[in-house]
Amino acid sequence: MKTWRNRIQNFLLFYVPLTLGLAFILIPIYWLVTMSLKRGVDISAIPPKIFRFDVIWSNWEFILISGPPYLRYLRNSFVIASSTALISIIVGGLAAYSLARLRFRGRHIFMFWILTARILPPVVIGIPFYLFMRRLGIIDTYLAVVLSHTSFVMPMAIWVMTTFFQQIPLAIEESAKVDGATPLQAFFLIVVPVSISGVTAAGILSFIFSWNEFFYSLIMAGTRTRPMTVAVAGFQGSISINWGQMAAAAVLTILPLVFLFIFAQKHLVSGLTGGAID
Amino acid sequence: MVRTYNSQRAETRMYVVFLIPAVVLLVILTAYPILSGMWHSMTNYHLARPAAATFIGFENFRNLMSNHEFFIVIRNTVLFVIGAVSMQFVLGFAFALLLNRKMRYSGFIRTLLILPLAMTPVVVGLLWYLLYNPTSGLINSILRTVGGPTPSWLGRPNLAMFSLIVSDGWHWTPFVMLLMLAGLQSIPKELYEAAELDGAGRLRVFFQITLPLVVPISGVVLLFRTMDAFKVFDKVFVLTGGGPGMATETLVFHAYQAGFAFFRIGYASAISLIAFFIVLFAAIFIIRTTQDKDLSI
Repeated sequence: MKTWRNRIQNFLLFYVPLTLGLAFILIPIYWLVTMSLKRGVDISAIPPKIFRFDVIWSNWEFILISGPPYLRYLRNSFVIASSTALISIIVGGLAAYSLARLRFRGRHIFMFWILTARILPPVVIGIPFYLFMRRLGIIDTYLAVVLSHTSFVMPMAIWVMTTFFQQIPLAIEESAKVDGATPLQAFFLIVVPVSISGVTAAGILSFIFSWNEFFYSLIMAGTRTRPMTVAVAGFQGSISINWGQMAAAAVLTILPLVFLFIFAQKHLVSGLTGGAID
Repeated sequence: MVRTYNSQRAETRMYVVFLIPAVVLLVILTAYPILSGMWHSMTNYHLARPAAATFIGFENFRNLMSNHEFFIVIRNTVLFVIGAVSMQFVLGFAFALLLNRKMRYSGFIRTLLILPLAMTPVVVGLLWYLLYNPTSGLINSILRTVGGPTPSWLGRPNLAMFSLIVSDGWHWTPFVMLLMLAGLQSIPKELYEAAELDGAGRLRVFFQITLPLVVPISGVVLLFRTMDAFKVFDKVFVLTGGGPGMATETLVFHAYQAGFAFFRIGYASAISLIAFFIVLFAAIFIIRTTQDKDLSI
């Protein structure tokens, strides 16, 4: 009798909520992906066609070949996100190493400044930054978009990498110096090689933050540098929306991220949560 | 360890040189814009006639305080933050409790549940725009099939705010789940074993052991999510555009509109500064109430 009661209890308190939770998270994603493969009539069919529909590729054909140049927007996103990530991990990495090793009084102020950049709503920086770039005449250049992204990506990268460098034992450098290496040699020959994995994780995270960014891109980028986020948001404003094409463009935007996520999940979870999870 | 005075000097010099590029970039990219924004907030800078900008003191702030719209926007923002953060927190904590046990495929199930985190916020907005569509959206298709009501999810003021909150909740529930799961797994097993020996029931164990021990990590979660919820922009832009009327217009969106739709840079700067201070005070408040030591995030 007791085992039956346990089983029923287990079923009601565990399997039912878990199934509902999985459904809540996964059905929208499944719906988006299949929508990109559906005809218009199948998208708005009642009852909804969840599993049985004709797979068509014309939405994807429109997005990738005949429609607006989404591949160019995708390339713009790649250029912007990779440049932002590179600047963030090179400039930010050097700073993070110093912050991890140096004990000076201004360190707390510096770290707080970096935290503030994380808190800052994008409009606060966005408006003056836009005016500044306009005065310089470089609106709608990669430089302007990348710099605006760097303003919030680099602080995040510094924060993640400082935590990471602090975990590298000081003894590694000390032993190199005992062998007669200069501090600079110790850094490049000893510290850099052992920190490749952590810095790569910070780089991937920076890439994703920049890839996802919308506000700065919206005001800084024009026709020449428009990234995917801005391009795909443009669907919403049009008068009659082609749902299938919109779904295809949306899937195309997140496809690179899903791959990154699957391959680097452990690092990303740690980075997204600010090092709270290892 | 023997170290000469010289090598220590060389080391310190290296650290300082390493810091310089980042400091220069951060000054140009954050400190300068903030100061410049403060200056703009005290002028009547208009994007169409920047040369005519003059200093007007706290006029913009006075106008904001006497403007009925501004209070609607503040109310919307607070509603959104409280609604979205509590939905994410309750659901995410519930998911974490479900996953915090030995079971088959737990790694795989976790990966499935955190998929929304891999999605671009704008795309999450579009995804829910598709689901909410009154005529061809999935939600109303299901409701129509079973003969239920088919409301216009984004077209009615109160419902639009609710819909916006659900879309944000869907996006960030997995984030809360991950952090809370880590918090739950760091609770020592012995505590549960001792409670079991004492014959404590499930509910008592939950309220007297689990809940008190996840307070610090909950603080971290709330801090992250509250800060980000205050800054919501992408989803508002894609889902409702602030509408219907002003029903879903939040602080950051309001500042964006003032600056880039109406070109009132001075006024927009004042709004964004207020937004900044609200987020800053909220962050300090959450840190103070939930953490006993310095937060290392």
